[in-house]
Amino acid sequence: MDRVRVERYLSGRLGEDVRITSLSQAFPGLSRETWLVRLELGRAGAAVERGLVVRADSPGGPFPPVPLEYEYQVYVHLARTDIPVARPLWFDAAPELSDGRALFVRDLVEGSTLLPGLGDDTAAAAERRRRVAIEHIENLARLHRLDWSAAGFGSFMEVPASAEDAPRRELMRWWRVWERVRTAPLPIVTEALHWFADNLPKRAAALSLCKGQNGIGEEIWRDDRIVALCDWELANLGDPCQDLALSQGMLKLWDRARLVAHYERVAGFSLPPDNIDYYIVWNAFKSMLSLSNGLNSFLDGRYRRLARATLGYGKVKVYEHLLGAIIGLDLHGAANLVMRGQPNPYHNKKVAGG
Amino acid sequence: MRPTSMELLDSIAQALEDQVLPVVQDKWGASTLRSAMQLLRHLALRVALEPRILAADNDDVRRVLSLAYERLGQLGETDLAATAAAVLSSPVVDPLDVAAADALNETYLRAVEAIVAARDRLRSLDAPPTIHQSLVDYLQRRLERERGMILPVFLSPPF
Repeated sequence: MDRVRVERYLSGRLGEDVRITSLSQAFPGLSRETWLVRLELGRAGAAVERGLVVRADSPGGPFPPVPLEYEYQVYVHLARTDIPVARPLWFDAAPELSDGRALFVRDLVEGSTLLPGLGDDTAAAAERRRRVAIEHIENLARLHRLDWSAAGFGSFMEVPASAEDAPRRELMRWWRVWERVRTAPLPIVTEALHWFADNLPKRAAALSLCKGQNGIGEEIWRDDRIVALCDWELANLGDPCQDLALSQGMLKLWDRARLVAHYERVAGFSLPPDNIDYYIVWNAFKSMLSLSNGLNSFLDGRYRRLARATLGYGKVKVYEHLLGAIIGLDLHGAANLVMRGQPNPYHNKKVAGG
Repeated sequence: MRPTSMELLDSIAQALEDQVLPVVQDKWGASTLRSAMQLLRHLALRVALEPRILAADNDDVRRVLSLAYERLGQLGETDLAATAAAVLSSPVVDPLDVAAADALNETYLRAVEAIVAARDRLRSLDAPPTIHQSLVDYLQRRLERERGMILPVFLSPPF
């Protein structure tokens, strides 16, 4: 996106003069593009400074096969609650600015998605990891306590019939998606899906609004506090254990058992350990599905960014081997195997934005 | 012929890592370079290994599907037996023709997948269970066969 086109577009939408002072794209933007815009709004001499974020589908479409408008709706509904999110402004299905790719615009929240130095080998960093882990788990607990029905999430999300129904519904929903988006026959994955069916939790810990991807690299942090929860494309109504399992290493930042106990006190319900183990393994499948979906646009020539091949082919192959290895293992053994193979790439970043 | 394809591709990837990556300041450019290096390292292995892997895998899956076809027929699973029969009637390809061998392999895999997907139904018919387990055993051998050109390479940073 170039500055002139963005200025013209935002000026038209906001109904005032716009002068962009800074425009940058968040790295790496492999699934969707996130553009950080700082601007002056209004006539010269009386202009006010403002920050916006433009989130757009990439030319090859997103990794998770979920429409951008769905994520926008999550923001709209959350903005009416006390969950910390950036204020959504508008959704545009096919604007000229992004050559017809869907986008939405939200307020920019000051902060960083990374916490440089968190992985340092010092006592201060260890204490910081404990604080950060608790801050994160409390935010998840508050989200999972949210009355999603009163907040209107049932109007656009699939609603499981009960806590007993939720795990199977999640399995079958994504099984069908997998059959739609996969790029080649992968029978070992079909067998892994049988493993999931055999190891399905008997019931969800609760029926909650779940965030999907969460943790460092996803949320906006300021002074080690979460000021906005971001990236809601995989949000769904289901077992909150999903989110703990998909927290990308947050449970390793401090003592896992104490973190879960703290979560349970804040949330007001308990988390069956087997459910967390199940979703740790399940997330390996969902990650593979999303990356595989991202390969489609590489194969049909729409988007030949090389990372689409390294992820959509190479990383998917790694996941295929991982899922092949869980067959025959019990739930705990499979979860341990997956946990060992998935370090968080963000925890040891030395600088923000790298 | 020396240098071999493997040597050439691997040395290109190494030169990019040693001499180009350190001087690329732009993070988007460096990211593309890391992806290119990873793909080149995979290709260095794949060019050398893929023909043999495909040939061995096609022999293996064909044998397993033949056994499954017989058993499915005995069990009265006519649709699945027909699926297996259809792919088993595919003409054998020149193992040096990698594209043709790969296309044939994918055809076989579609049939394997159809039978694996019927696990729950077959479980009640196939006693003692032979079809499903023989296919799963084949799939594990398949993973082991290709492991050498996948796991060392694609565990490095992908972008």
